[in-house]
Parts: sequence; C-alpha cells; structure tokens
Amino acid sequence: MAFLNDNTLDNGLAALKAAATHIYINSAEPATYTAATSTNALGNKNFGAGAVFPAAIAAGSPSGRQLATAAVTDGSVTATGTATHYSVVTSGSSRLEVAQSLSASQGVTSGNTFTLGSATVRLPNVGG
Amino acid sequence: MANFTRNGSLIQIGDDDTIGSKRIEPGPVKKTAKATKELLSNDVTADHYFAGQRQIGEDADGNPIMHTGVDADGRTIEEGAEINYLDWLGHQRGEEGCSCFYLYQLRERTAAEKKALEIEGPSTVWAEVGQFPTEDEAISAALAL
Repeated sequence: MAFLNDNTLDNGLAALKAAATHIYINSAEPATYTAATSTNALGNKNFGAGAVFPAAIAAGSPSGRQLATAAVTDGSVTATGTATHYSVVTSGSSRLEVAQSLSASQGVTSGNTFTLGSATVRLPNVGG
Repeated sequence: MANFTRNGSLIQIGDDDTIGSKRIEPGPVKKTAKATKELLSNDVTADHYFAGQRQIGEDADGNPIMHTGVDADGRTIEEGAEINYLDWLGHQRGEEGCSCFYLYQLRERTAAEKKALEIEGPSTVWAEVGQFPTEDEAISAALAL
C-alpha cells in the first residue's frame, strides 16, 4: 500500500479525489512534494484537479475503500533515467498525496512520452 | 528582504523562478537497515516495502501482473540485505528521530547533469541541500546559504 498524506487520512478518499492534479514518475521514492515534482522527477502528466482519480470511490480488497488512478497514456518524460516510483501531488497546495513504487522499474528517455497503468490507493478497514 | 511564503507545510524563501530560492518541507527520515522480517512488517515500515513479488492484478490475457518489492532507491529488496527506506510510519506517528525538515535550493543543472539526463537548453532543479531536525534549524540554514 502506498504512502498517503495525512490530509487523506483525516478527510478521506473524497478529498484526495477532488484535489489531486498530477502524476509524476520518479527516479527514487520522494519524501516531499519538492522531491516528487523536481528533485527526483523524470516526467509527469497534468490531469487537473478531479481527474487523477476519475472513477467513483469503490470497495477495497481485502477491505476498506479505494480509488484508482487514471491510466497515463501520454505522460511527458522530462529527463532520461530509470523510473522506480510514481507519486501523486496536488500542485496548488504543494502537497505530496501518494508515493508508491512502480510494479516494475522502467527506463525513460527525455522528450518521449510514458504510459502508466491504473494504480489503486486504498484505505483499509478491519482485515488489513 | 527575501520573500517568505508558506503553502501548507512547505516554506519557500524566494520564488519558483529565481536561482538561489529555497524550500523547506517536513518529511520522513531516510534510514538504512537490514531487511529482516521484523523490519518489513507493517508495524515497522510502510506496506510498500516487501521482499519478493506480489500479484496486483491481471492483464488482458488473464496473466498475473506482479509487483516487485523495491526500496526507496528502487533497488530490489532481498531479505537479509541492506535497504534504504523512508520511515513513513514513524513520521506519521510523530516518533522521535523519524521526521526531519528537508532543505532545497533552486539551481541550474550542471552540464554533466544535463548530459546524463539528456536535457537540452536551460534547466533548473530544486536540489536537496540538507536535512534538519527542526524547522527553525532548517530556516537558519536556508538563510545562511
């Protein structure tokens, strides 16, 4: 399960769904918004607020509730490197919302586009 | 006089476009430890640190999509080997020694960086300068830069 900002733990998945603006790919796991969007950034897709998680909140597995990110089909690669993690941010609030490793690291080349499958973000309930 | 702004937990001294501007943000400390079962348990480290692989779904042909556990630097986690991890749990719990304030400074990328990253033209980066135990210490360090 990914790191989730306290804002999501306090206000729920609906707050994350409404606020998040960008998905970044990163060369290392970002600890902060700045690391996600600059220091470790290799590319990004700007969805705009409300569109990073387009589908409704759904039942999580094995428990809780979850959101799914939109698949990225035309992300912009801004630097050549090996993407090992992705992150979700809210740019207006300078907030790192989600940080998670990719299912498999992928090499990316500056100037190209990147694709990323949908990923889920889950708040668990009893049962983990 | 430098322009101080606060947006949520991020403090910026200067602006987004001026070389030399600084940013301070709280975050989890990055630690190094041996990847034992205890360390990798969800009571100690975040769930996304695990050894081996987990199935996270299926592709269009019904084949399993596997997720390989990696550390904070993207290296495959092998039980018994050293890993680097961000102490998210300690940070969110407010435990001592698990949180810090990261200091960044906006600078031009070097020619060597641009060559390695295959970036053409002008390029800037918020480069990490240091980590400090308190916000006040980070601000003092930022003002001394």
